[in-house]
Amino acid sequence: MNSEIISYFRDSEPPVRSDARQTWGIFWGQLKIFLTYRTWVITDTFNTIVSITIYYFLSLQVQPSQLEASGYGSSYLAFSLIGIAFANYLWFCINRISHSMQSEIREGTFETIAASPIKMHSYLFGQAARGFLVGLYYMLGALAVGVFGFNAPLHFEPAVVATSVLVLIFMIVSHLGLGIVVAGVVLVYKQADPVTFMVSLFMEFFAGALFPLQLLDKYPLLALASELMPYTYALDALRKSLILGATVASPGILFDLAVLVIYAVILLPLGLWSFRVGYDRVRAEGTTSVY
Amino acid sequence: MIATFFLFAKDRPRAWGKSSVTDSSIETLRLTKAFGGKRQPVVAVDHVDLLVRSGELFGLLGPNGAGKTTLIKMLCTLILPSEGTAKVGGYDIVKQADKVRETIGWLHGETGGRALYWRLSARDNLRFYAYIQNVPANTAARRIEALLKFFGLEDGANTLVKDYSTGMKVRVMLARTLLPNPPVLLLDEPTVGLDAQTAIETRKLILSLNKELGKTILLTSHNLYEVERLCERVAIISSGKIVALGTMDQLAHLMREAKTIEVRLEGTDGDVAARIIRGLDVVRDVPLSERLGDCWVIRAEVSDLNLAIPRITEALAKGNCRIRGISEIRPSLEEIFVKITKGGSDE
Repeated sequence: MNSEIISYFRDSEPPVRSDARQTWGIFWGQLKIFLTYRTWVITDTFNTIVSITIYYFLSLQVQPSQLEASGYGSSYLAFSLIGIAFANYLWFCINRISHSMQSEIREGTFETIAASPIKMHSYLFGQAARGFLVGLYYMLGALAVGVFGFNAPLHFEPAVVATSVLVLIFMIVSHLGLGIVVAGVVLVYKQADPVTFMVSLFMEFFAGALFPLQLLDKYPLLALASELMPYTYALDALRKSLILGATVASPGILFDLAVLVIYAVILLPLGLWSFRVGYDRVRAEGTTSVY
Repeated sequence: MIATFFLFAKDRPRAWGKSSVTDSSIETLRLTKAFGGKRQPVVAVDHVDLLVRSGELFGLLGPNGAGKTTLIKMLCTLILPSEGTAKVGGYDIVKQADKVRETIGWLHGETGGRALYWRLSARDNLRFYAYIQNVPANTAARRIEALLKFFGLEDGANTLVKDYSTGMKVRVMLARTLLPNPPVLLLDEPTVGLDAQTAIETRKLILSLNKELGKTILLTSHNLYEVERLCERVAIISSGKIVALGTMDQLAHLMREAKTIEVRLEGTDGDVAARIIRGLDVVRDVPLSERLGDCWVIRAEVSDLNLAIPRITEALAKGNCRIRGISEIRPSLEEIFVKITKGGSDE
């Protein structure tokens, strides 16, 4: 029996050192774990439908003329649907990385990850990829409920869809760094629910998920904060595309994409750096697990 | 022997072969870890110097809270040292942490299977770790099935780990540690929670990994019998310091009081014989005197073995005691451990 098992360790195949393979491994494992939480998935789907229904009834109270000045058409349902579906998507993605991190520290699995040869960025990207994919299910679900359930007037021509997908990718990359920063906070302080809640609240409010940003013009500081939020530019591009039918050839969308690229270039390395600082701190404190 | 060495050399991936030292796999130099602030630091590991040679099976013993796990976690790169340094496979645990992680397999058996993904099956847990441990797909597939079979997990391999018993979880953890075939194994309580049969098989496997594949193994265990059976050398750590280190014989030699002689007598009053032995100047104590069937067994702690045996023999002969046998008793690891750590607890 012993000699049989030992024979399996005599082979000399060299290890496969691939960041992409490690990232895929994390994504695959985390997705499998997520899919075992069936009740949670069903509850969240139900919550998505309910929230869109609420915005539908809210939209009945908003005068189209009030919205037209914002330049995003006259349907508040379409306006809020884009705002809330994509904001929820981003919140879900950011929250997923830190939530997984919290659970891994508690369960002790983070220690075995940290003692393995995996690159930390592969681990984080794998976690993020799982969040972005699962979040996509809820985001598309919300759009489907809005469009097919309440006739939200959105454009779905191929060029518009392609543009929206491009914006979505840029939005993901530009916000990934933010998610990684929050994960670093979780690593050090072992919980970050207040941080993720605050980030999502700021994001929704300052990017104008539920109201036109022109309303902030009377408050210069708030308007400035809104201009500093990367989600503001992602949302602007998505609304221009999905509500007005603009494509990537439009200067407005190109400008938004350029801003998102700048944010990605700044936030992603910053996120990885701050995570590294947090990681070294917990290694110094000896608190890579709390079980 | 040459064939075994050849297989071992072939088995080591190229990067692992780029070690900067050749004579040791684990080496610590005044390795220290203090937790808490500078005002009131709690020193968990205190200037530890340790050398575990390449291909050695080394035991690390210590009472609870002695610093064993902190020491191992530093070697795993999970905890940064406050002072001193260490090398694993020739790689510095701070400056070359990535290389160290490729070199080690770490098992933290005391977690009782917590450090697994409970919502994945055993097979998926192993697949997951094959990805992050850089194990090639074909090799991983072969090894996973072999390990599942070896650890008796074949039948429940697709059941979620949350439904496993503690023993099964520990078996999955063991399989996971071995899967990437690392040259250095840090086994922290590898048989805790296992049933007797699996524990025996696991000990045999640990021995085979060391003897046949030349793996360097640092083993900690509360099971002193296990350490005594498996390890070539043993270090005892207490309050963060290495208080004893050596082979079993060397450790026994360290214990001046542990020079024990056992005398077996027949047809003799044991109490009388014990009194005679106790009266000799070379005898420190007679801790045991009891009847076993038709003979008496007396144990005497002596100051000098060479002098004690002839003197005891002579004295008993003068007292008309019939000696069936007289021999030196090597103290068990348990006796050494308790003596050195003064009771076996740092808590």
